Amino acid sequence: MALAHNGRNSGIFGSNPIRVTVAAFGFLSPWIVGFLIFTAGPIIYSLYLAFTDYDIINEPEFVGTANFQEMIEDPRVKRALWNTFIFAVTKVPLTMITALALAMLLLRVGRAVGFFRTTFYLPVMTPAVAVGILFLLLFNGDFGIVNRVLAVFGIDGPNWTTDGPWVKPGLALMSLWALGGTVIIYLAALNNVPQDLYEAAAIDGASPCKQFRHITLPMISGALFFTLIIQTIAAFQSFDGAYTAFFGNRATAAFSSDAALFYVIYLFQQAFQFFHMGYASALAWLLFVLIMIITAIQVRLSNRFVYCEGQTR
Amino acid sequence: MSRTERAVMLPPPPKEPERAAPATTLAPRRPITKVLRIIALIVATVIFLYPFVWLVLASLKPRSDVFDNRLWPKEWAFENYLTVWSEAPILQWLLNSTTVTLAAAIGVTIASALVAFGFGYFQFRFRNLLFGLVLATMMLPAAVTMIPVFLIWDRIGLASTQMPLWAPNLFGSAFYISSCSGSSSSACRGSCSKRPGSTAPATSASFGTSPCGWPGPR
Repeated sequence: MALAHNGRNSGIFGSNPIRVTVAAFGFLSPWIVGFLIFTAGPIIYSLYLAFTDYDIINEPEFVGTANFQEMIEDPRVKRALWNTFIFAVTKVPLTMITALALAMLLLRVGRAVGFFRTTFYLPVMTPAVAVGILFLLLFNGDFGIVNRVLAVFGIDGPNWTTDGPWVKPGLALMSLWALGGTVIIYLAALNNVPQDLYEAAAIDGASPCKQFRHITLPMISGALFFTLIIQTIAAFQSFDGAYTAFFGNRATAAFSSDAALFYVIYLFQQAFQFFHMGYASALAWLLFVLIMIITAIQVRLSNRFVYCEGQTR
Repeated sequence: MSRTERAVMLPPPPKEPERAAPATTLAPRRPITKVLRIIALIVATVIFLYPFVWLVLASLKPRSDVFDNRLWPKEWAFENYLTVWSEAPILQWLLNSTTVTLAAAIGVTIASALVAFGFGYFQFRFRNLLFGLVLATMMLPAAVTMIPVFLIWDRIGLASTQMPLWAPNLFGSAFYISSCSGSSSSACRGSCSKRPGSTAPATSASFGTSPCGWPGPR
């Protein structure tokens, strides 16, 4: 990047490039220090721990690739990976589609938009722990509201909280409640779509469906892509809701701990219940690598679909 | 106005403010669509508000009635609130939450604003590299750093205190840094920072006018 010493970089810090750089790093210093202590250092240290046996009390003992070999044989790792994957591929598209639909609805509301925006954002501010408890109450097979509403339509709802295969879809549905943040992002993106594009399309006789397909979707593809990546990363690290619902209390832990065993929950158990810090670090690094690969694939795919204004390709 | 009528209409004269009448292009004028839209909004609102309403009303039911298949309490139990207040140290919990929240919110605001200003105002070597790092940390799974970060707090004897809950915020948050530095205000990164001599006033003294976050020489 060319340094812009075009005389504009004067201000109160002078135009001397060294002074400017020093001043800039002064402002950046909180983040740089935090990055070194809480991000860069820990990443390297956890990579080291992944090759050790460490129980916090005794010094870490180097064991080579033993942790990784153990991971391959550990059936709970496979189980947790599978659960997490299923949850992510259910939750992320559901969230994106529902949030986009809500944002489109909100876009045309007019003056009452403030009320609805607050309504849809309120659950985001509800702690994930409370959401986990609410899940048990609302999705209860016998007296939860979800099954009672389904019964109105003649559907015999499953036992969301106790029937293994239904636990993950249930948790994904519950997580939809907190999609307000995504709605806000989409709403902002939709508001940024220039109106004259729709005018022009309408004059040319494009139907609302075609306008959505050929104007709205390309114009908000940046926001869609951003939420896809962030949501996927978050879904792969789901912890709070499932943990409070199924591991934080004894009543449910007994029969559904396997169906709701998400990867980070297993990692947490290994690290802070069994104090297998080395093994847990190896688990963390596997997750890290998996998330990086998935993100890279998504970036690859999205390069084809994301439209950037003012960018020629 | 039907769509066909609009189609034969002449395009509006140039320079007419587009925002003046978005309804003509955005909102379909067919009443059925409008009714459907309102119904969808009402349904969504009910779904989003129901858990809150249920929680509040359930908190006013006697314990045995919580799952009595009705929303409205048969029998009101306002004493629930007195019971919980006298049996649990609620005040202490509230104080804990308030302390941590205040420290975290104030810390993250000041630190993120400082750092974002550094990125938004100055042009310096490594700026893009460092900003890329900020964005990258947002994608880093917290699970990777969780164990060493715990070990750090444990080693300095603060693992069981409130400190770890707010102190990291003193170093800023990648999300707030990137969203208020003006360098990534759109998902298509760089659309703002690459605008040479943009509409923002050139004098750095006139703060608060830049279209994207921090004003300043670009």
